[in-house]
Amino acid sequence: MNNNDKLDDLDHEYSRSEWTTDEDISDCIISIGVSDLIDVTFFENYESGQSKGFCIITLQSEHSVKLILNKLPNKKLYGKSPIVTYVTFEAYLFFQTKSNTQPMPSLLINQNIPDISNRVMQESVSENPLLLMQEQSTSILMKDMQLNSSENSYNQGLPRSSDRYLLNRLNLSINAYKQGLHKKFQAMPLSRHDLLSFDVGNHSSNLAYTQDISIQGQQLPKYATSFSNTPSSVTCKHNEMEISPQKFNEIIRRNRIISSSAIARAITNSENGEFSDAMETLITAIKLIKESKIANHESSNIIVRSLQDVLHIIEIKKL
Amino acid sequence: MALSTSQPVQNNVQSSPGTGWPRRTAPVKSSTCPSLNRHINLYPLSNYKFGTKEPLFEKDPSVPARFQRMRDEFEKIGMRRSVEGVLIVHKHGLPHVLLLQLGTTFFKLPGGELNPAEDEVEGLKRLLTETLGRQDGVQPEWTVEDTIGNWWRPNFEPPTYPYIPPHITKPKEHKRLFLVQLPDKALFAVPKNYKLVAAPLFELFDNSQGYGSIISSLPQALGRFNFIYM
Repeated sequence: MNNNDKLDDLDHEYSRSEWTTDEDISDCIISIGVSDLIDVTFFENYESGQSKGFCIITLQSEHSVKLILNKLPNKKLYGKSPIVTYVTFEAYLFFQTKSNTQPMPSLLINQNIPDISNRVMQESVSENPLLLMQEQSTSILMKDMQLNSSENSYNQGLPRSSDRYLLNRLNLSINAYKQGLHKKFQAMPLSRHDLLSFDVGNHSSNLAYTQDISIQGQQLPKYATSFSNTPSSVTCKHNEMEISPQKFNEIIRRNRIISSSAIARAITNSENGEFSDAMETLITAIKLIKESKIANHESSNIIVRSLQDVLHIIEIKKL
Repeated sequence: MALSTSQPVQNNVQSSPGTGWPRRTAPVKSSTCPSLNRHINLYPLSNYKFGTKEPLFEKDPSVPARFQRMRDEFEKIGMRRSVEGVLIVHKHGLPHVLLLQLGTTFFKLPGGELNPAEDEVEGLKRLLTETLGRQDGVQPEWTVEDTIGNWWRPNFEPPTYPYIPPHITKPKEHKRLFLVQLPDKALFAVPKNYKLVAAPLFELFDNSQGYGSIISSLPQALGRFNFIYM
């Protein structure tokens, strides 16, 4: 260290958690006796590919989820204890803020329990409205939390502006949608539902948008009523499993909470001139909804379109 | 090192009779080391003829299908290996890169996926022949000259980077770009669903919005070559 006083390799600008690899995390998880890890997905800066220091861990069983929630916070990853939580949008925003403002960008993890025999568990899990369930899963967020006060001089740049490519694509989809051409849009193939319910969808989309905007000041939006054109069952994208109407409504409700929190947050950000943050929040929300169990259903498309509309507005504001 | 060579130059300037104009530097003796001085012959665009042939469709019908297949294959055969060829001609004294245009806004370099264990140079030649080879059985002459760049896809998602982000231990795709020396004259057969365009470097430079990050960085990557306009 002392020999390298002159060597400024910029590493000190980043926390150790940004260098933490997927293998570091899977090794750590295996070391506490969990053997059914499915996936580790990092949150990354879109333009540079750099890790934001937090990730989503996907696991097979609820047992493992509990084990990890209990034991992982006591493990050290490069000298720091990770924060582990269920995947919620709030947790995401919290970690995101940390990675933007703290000397120690964070480490984030999610965790999924794929399908089938897990119905009972899903029911119990879904009692928590803040839990983001991706596909058939329970989720955990994990983050490296130790703050290092000695690194006050840490000077992490502002997040880079969101990727032009992605914005292009979103704009394309918005334009295509506005022209009623969205069934031709390749990047977002639509299901049969969409073709049948296009007019309805178009109409409700505007409704949803206004609604979302108008509740931005409230704490938590309440969507008590079920979606008007909810079918009795939906074919699930990933495992061909039927979802009960009850379950379906619940996921819709969750998606709408994500959407409205994201829009409220994005509007606050853009009012403060933080357009990149605003766009990133919206893009992440779109991603979360597209990954939900009912991603192919019209209701998800409507929510995604509302988010894209806001994204589009913010993009124009930014220019 | 840089300091010691710049010092004498400065002295020369000071001691020269004051014409007001800086002295022209003496002709630089170029290194004979081939890797330090890469000559590439470029021929005029008009030397090449372009015919058409049967359409060559992409393997995947949509973007989600593309990533799904990448995911499935990753499970079975591991990281995808792709190769692409950079074919250059000249026009108006500027290098132009040959790009395949699909629709109105999508451009790509000729190339594709290697088969498992396939040699990358042989594979590139195979893919170039599949894409642009003529129909009359005459084997095209592809000379793979040099590596231009390496790009990695960390996730089953669109972004690729010219490095592996450090938190990634298992990249999902490795794409390698090669400079291909064209013969002085040739006939190419372009699949009907594509247009072949010769894009000038200034059109590509800093234009990731129009061409994506890989193609728009070609002007920088090609800057190290000494192009000879034949």
